[in-house]
Amino acid sequence: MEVLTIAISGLLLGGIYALVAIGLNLVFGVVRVTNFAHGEFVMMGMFGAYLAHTTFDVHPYISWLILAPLGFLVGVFLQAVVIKRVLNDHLMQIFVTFGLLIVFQSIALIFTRGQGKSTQVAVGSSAFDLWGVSVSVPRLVILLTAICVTVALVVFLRNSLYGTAVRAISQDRQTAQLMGINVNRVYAVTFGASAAIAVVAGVLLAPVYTATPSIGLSFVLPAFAVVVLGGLGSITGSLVGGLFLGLVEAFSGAYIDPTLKQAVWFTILIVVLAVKPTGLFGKVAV
Amino acid sequence: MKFKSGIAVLASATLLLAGCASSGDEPDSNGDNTGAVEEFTIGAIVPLSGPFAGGGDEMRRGYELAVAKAGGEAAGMSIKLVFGDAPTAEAAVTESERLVTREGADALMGTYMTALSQAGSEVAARHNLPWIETNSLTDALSERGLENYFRTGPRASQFASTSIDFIADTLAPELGGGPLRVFLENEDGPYGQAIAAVQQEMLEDLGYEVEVGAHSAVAIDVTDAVLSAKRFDPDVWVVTGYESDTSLLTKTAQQQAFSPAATVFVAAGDTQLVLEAVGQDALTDKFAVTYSSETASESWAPENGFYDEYREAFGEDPIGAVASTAYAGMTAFLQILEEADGTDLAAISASARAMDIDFGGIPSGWGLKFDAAGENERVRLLVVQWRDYGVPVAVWPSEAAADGEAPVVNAR
Repeated sequence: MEVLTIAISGLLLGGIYALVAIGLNLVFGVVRVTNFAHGEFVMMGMFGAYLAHTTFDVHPYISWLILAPLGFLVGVFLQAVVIKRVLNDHLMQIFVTFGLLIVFQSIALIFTRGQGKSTQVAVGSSAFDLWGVSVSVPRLVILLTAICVTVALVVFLRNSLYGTAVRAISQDRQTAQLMGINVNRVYAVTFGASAAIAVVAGVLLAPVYTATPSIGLSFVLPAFAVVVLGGLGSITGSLVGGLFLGLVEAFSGAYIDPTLKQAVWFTILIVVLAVKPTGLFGKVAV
Repeated sequence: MKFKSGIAVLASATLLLAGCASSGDEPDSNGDNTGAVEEFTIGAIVPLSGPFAGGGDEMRRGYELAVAKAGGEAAGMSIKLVFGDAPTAEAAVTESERLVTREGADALMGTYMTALSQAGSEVAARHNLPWIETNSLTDALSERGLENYFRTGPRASQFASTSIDFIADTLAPELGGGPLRVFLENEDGPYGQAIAAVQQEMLEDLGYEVEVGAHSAVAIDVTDAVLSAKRFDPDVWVVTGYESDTSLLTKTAQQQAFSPAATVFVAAGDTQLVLEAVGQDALTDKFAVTYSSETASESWAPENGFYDEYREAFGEDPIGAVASTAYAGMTAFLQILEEADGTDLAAISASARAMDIDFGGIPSGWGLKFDAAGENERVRLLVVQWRDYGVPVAVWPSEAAADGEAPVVNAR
C-alpha cells in the first residue's frame, strides 16, 4: 500500500514538473532560448488566479481561460520587443532573461511586500480515496492538464501546417526562412504559447501553493532538469521526464532521505546525460 | 553546459559589480565613533527581496514603529534608520559595508536568518560597531565570542525547550501520562536542525520515543515527510519551519488523513498567512510555540500596545510575530542607547551589559539582561492554540494564558 501511495504522489508531483517544463522546452527547441524568466510566468499565473478569485470571485478552474490568453500576449510582446534582439547571442540571452526574472519578481514585490497570497478554494485541500490511497484533486487536475497539453501540442506540431513550419524552424532556421516561413512570427507565437502554458500551470498551482514573488524559481529548477532529462526540444520528453523525476523524488524521499531528493535526481540526470547526451527523447544535440 | 558557464559569468559579474559599488567612494565615516553625535544612524540588515522578503518587510515596519514610538530620538540624538536589502549572506556583507561606509551607520542590527546575522555581525565587528540581533535564532551566533554581538530576542534552543516543556507539562498528562511517541519534523537548514537537535536530546532524556524527519523549506512536495511521520504513528507531531513549508505540511497531512493527537508548530504556524493557506479546519486545536501574542494576559505582557500601533500605522494586522519581535528589539536597543555614556562600541556595550529590566519591562513580555555571550536572559516564549473562530489564543504557560483559556487536548 505504501509503495502505491508513494508512486501516486510521485506521479502527481511529476505532473507539476512536466506542465512547467513543457513551455520551457518548447522555447528551447524552437526559439533556442534559455528562458530563466519562465518561472515568473508561473508566478504571474498564481497571482492572477488569486486576483481573479479575490476581486471577481472567479474560480481558478475558470480564470485560466482569461489568464492564459493574457500570458500569451505578454509572451508575444516580450519576444517581439526583447528576446528577438538577442537571438544570436546566447550569453546575452542569459543576461536578458535573468534580468526579466528580476524585473518580474521586483514588480510582484512592490505589490505584495513579499507576503504570500493563498487562493482559498475548497478544492485546494480536497482528496479522494483510490484503492486506499489518498489522491489530491488539484494535483490530479495538474497531471491531467500536463497530459492533455502534451497530446495537443504533439498532434498540432505533427499534423498542422503551422506545426510543420515550427518543426522546420527547429531543424534549420535559415533554410526555413529561405523557404518563405515567417520565422519571427513563429518565434513570437511559440514564445507566447510557452508563456500561456506556464500561466496555466501557475493558475492550477494556486489552490495548492501560496503565491510569493520568488516561487517561480522553486518550479523552474526541476523544470530545467526535466528538459535536459527528457530531451531538448521534445514535448513528449518533458512529460515523461517530469513523471520520471517525480517518481524518483518521491521514492528517494521515502526510502533514502528527504534531504537527498535533489541530489538523487541530479545524480540520475548526470548518468543519463553521460549515457545519452541528448536526453531520453532528444534526437540531436541542441 | 552553456547554462553553467552563463551562470558563472553572471555570478562573477554580479559580485564584481557589488564589489565596485561598495568600494568606489570615500567613506563618510570609518565607523570609529568617538564623542557625541547629534544624529545616530542605525543600519538595519533585512531581506527586502527574495524568498524571505515578507519577513524582512515586517521587520522594517517593526523597527520603524519602535523608532516612531520613541519620538525618533534617544539620549538627545535624533535616530536615523537606514535599511540594507540582504536576501543572501553575500548581500548581507556588501550591504553592511555600504551602510557603514556610505550611510555612516553607528550601529547595525537585523536580521531574519542565521546566515545574514553571521555575515553582517562580522562586518560590524571589523568596523568596531555594535550588532543588535532581534530576530535570528541559531544559538551558535553568540558562540563566536564577538564582543559586539547582542541578541535581544529568543534563541533556537529556547523554542526547542519551550516546545518540549509544553509537551511534558501539558500534553503528556492529557495523553495517558506515560512517555509519548513524538515525531520531530524540521526544515533542513541551520535553524530547523538546531531546534530539532535540542528537542531530540530533551525528549530522549524524558524517555520518549522520538523520530526525526527533515524537509527543505522551499520544497514543493512534502508527501514523503508526512508519510514518514504517519508511519511512525506519533502522539505528537512537532513541526519546525517557516510559514510556507508549515502550510504545505499541514495541507498535505490533511490530504493524507494524518491526524495525531496533537500537533505543535514551532516558531511559525500562528499567522493569518497559514490560516489563509490551509483553512480553518486544518488548524483548529493545533498549537504553536511563538514569540508573543496579542491575546497574552496583561500580567505577562503589560507593554503590549504594539498591535494597535501597527494597525493604526499600516491599516492592517501584523503578519505573525516577526514585526513585534523586531519592535521589541529596537525598543530595547533605544533604551540601551538612552543609558549609554557615548556612542562608541565600548559605551554601548557597557550600557547593554548594565541593563537590568525585569520581565514585562519591554514589549512582548520580555525583560532585558544580557549574559556574558550577549544573549538576553529575559526572553520568554508562550504557546498559542488555534480556536475554531480563526484566532490563535495564548494558552500556556498559565500565567500567559488569555482570560479563561487553557490548552484543549483531544486524546485519540
